[in-house]
Amino acid sequence: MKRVVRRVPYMLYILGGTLLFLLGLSVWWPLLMVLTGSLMGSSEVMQRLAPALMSAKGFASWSLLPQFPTLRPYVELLLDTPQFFVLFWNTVKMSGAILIGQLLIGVPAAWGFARYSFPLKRTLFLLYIALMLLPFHVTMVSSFLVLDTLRLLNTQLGIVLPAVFSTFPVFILYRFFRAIPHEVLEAATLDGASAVQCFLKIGVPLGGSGVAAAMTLSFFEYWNMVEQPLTFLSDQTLWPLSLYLPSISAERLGLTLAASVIALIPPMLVFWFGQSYLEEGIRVTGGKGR
Amino acid sequence: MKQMEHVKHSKPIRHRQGQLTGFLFILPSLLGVAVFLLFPFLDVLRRSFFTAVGGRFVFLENYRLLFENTAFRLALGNTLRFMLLCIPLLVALSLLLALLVSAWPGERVPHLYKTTFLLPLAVPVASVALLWRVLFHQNGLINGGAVRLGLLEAAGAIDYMNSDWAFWVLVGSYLWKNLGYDMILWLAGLAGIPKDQYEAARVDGASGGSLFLYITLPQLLPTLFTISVLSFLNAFRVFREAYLVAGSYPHSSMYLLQHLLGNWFVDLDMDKLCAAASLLALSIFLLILLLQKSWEREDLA
Amino acid sequence: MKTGDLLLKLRDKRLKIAGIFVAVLLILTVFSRISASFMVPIVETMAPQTGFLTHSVSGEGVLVPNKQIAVVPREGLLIEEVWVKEGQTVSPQTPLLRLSVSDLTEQLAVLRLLDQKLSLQARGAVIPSLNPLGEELERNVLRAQEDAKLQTKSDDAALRRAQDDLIDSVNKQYWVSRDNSGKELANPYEAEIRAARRAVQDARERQERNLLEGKRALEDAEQQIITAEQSLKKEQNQVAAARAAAQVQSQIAEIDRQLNALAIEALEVYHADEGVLVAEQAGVVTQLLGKIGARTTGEGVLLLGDTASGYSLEARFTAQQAKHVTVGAGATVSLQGLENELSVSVLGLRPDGNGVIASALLPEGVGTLGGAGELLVTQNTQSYDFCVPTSALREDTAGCFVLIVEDEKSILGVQQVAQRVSVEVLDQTPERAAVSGAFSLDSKVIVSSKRAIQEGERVRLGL
Repeated sequence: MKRVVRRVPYMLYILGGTLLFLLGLSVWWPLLMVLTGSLMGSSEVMQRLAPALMSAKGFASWSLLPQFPTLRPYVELLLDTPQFFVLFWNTVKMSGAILIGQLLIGVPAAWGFARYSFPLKRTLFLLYIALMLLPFHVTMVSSFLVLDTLRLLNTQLGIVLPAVFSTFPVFILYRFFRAIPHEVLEAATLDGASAVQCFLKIGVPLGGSGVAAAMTLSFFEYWNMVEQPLTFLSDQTLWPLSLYLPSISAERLGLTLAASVIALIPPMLVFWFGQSYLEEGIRVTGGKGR
Repeated sequence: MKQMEHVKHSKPIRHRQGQLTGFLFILPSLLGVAVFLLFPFLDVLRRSFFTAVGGRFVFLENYRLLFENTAFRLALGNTLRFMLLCIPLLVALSLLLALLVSAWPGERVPHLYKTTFLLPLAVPVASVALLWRVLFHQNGLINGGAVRLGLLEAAGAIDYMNSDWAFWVLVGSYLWKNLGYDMILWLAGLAGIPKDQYEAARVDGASGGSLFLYITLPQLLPTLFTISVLSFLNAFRVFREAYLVAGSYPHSSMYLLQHLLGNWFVDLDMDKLCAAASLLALSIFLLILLLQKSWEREDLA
Repeated sequence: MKTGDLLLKLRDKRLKIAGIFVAVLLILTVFSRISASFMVPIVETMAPQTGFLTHSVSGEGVLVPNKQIAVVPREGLLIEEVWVKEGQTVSPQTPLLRLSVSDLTEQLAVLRLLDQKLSLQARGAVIPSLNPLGEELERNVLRAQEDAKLQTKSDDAALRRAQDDLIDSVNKQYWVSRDNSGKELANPYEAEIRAARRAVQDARERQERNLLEGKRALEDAEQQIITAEQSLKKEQNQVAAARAAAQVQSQIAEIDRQLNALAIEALEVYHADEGVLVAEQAGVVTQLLGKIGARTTGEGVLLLGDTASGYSLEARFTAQQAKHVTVGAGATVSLQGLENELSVSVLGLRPDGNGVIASALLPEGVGTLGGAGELLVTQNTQSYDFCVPTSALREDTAGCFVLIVEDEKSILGVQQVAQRVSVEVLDQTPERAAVSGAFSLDSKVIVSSKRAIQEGERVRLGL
């Protein structure tokens, strides 16, 4: 690798560094904005952002350091706003249930696709990929009717169940399970291990990082659910945080920013946890084994 | 050679017992998929041939009406434009970043950049939507900053979300969010290229440019397929931000098919909705089938 | 990636931080919930009811006997001593008071003199005589008649004489003129005849004139008589009237005399009793009107209550209360020294200043004279659609309202929220109020709360 680098012209090196830096800034700066904003206190945030959010005169402005740092928005949010927790736990509940469900349904399915051969498998897998790519809106009408028939409309289970059967984790895990050397399984089978034992004792541990990667990606996906709850949950008390945050009025902007920061923490933790798995997962889906 | 090994190692179990076992493994998933994904899709397909009211079979009439619908043409145009612009842009940009990061000396800086570019994936959509509003409003931070720096007259402030800029904001948001994801994919692809090939080529006196052109790119082609598919998948997700910022009826430049479908759903415009949905789904299936060959060679051998 | 590695990784500090984050959020969730529920006031609610209001008003008063007798001595007597006090029970023949004997004696003397005077007046009525009739007038008539007769006679004679003269003259002429041959000769008596004829004619004229004159005189006399007769009748009437008046006066005097006699008789009785008045029946002195040293007015000097006929409670109510007191309304009476309340009904109402006094009959044998009592009148109104406890009514500048608990869907689930409903108060008692407003019989009207609540505020339903 290093030899390749040496052949890259110096100018390109500088240009690339600048590009990387700018793009990196574009990621960190907004995050910093949210963080400092949440420490500003409502009046300062209002003063700075009213032009943008409430069409006041002048232009919005920002600084990376609050004039009067305060934890008030957090105190208000965490001690005086029980609604926030309802939504927060709604999100946790739904995301958690979906992840567990995907684990129970998607992992065996991926194992089946990856390690076994049966008629129509190729077609089925293609179908899975196609269904994975279908935007939510395509099947919205009929999903609505299906959920209605199953009496799952306006329940969180109605959000969880379809997501549990999402084909995305199957797609991700497939590659991981494919990468397990055949000999390992053969040896196990010769030792008298059953198919289920093979799956649990060999497949799952060896594909563990793949599972983690799939779950990390799924978590990001479902922590940010918008379309499904918006369509299927009419009861706002069942909504996840992702739908509620934008609906906090501009007057309580300080609260919104604080809530954004709190809502940012779980994905960040998961990201922190799962970054290596994530990279690995993404890499593996890229087609190359480890 | 490594690839050969790979194929041999992952040879699936092929006997009657194994067939049944394999099927049993996917059965729970299959049932759920059938109920919650396949059946709804087939139902939508069926509905697209019938009138919404009365359920009369009209075959392709709904599709014909669809193409006469200006809103559909607008949404389809926007979506196609978005896809055709964004996916190549994202693929190219992320490849560039991957090359830069992989070429960066040391361990810490590439790691930091990988983290940085993956981070937007974890930022909640709601927070992103809030940032959009603050940044791109007519009185927002971008205009404000430009005016302060003297780049822009106060009167000339652009209302990004309510002008043709909205589309570009959407593009930017998509790139911002998915660069890291695709970059990691590219990095994986790059890492998969055996180093001895470069060594051999270099011995033959090949330059950096030709190394890239004749060794790197061809080996990255399979990765390109996956990246395209996943970028395509993620392109649909940009709707979330668009919706949270601008609601059901954003500026016409960023009025996507999902907006349209959602609005038809709200209006109970079922026949058009189903026809449009089916069309979208069929084009996706078609795309998958077109790419199947490359896929098969890669995976299902 | 080995399982061991994975588990090792999961045990690292990242997991700890995640765990701490989740734990902190859980604690905060519970904490904010608890604090929220502490902040939410507990309220007690009640559904509005259809029904009537019961107005209860109470008035205080005293017991009065149902029957009272007034002791009424003659008017104008001087009360010298009063021997009983208000509230004193008296038996028959109990001396009540004494009139001044000397005053009685004096008055008797005066009355007796008056008796004599009246006796005389009754007897001595004078009847005046009638005036003499118009004799003179009658005489005038007679005279006129005689005059007329005399005149007629003399006129007749004069006429006859003139006629005789005429006849003579005519005879003479005849003879003269026809003397032997019948030949008419120059008449020497012609002038004579003519004069005779004239004389006859004159006599006739005179007679006629005199007759008319006589008639006129008679008529005058008659007229005079008629006039006289008329005046005579007038006089006769006057005489009759005078006679009647005299009679009446005498009768009046007689009556006066008799009255006087009665007064004398009464005073004599008082006098005989040495001015002492005694009770005629058993009773209680309820009111002492006459004062020592004052003269009696002809009204009762004292009122005697009949203890045997029971008591009524007369209670006073203010004008405000009076609206809810009507005749026939049910009431309870609580008396001093009586444990049980008595059920009675309002028998009568009479105005008293601004308010009214209601009386209620007590059962026989209950109560003592002058005892204090309280009359509690309870009266049901018409039936109202919505009655709520009065404590539920609230008022502000915008008017009267109640707060009702309504379910409101919010992000925390279904919450109870106090909603304002404007009402019009139709009627009100200290306990309940009849109202009209936009709610139903299922509405949960907030009756009481642990602390003051505002409209729109979250509340919790208490037990």
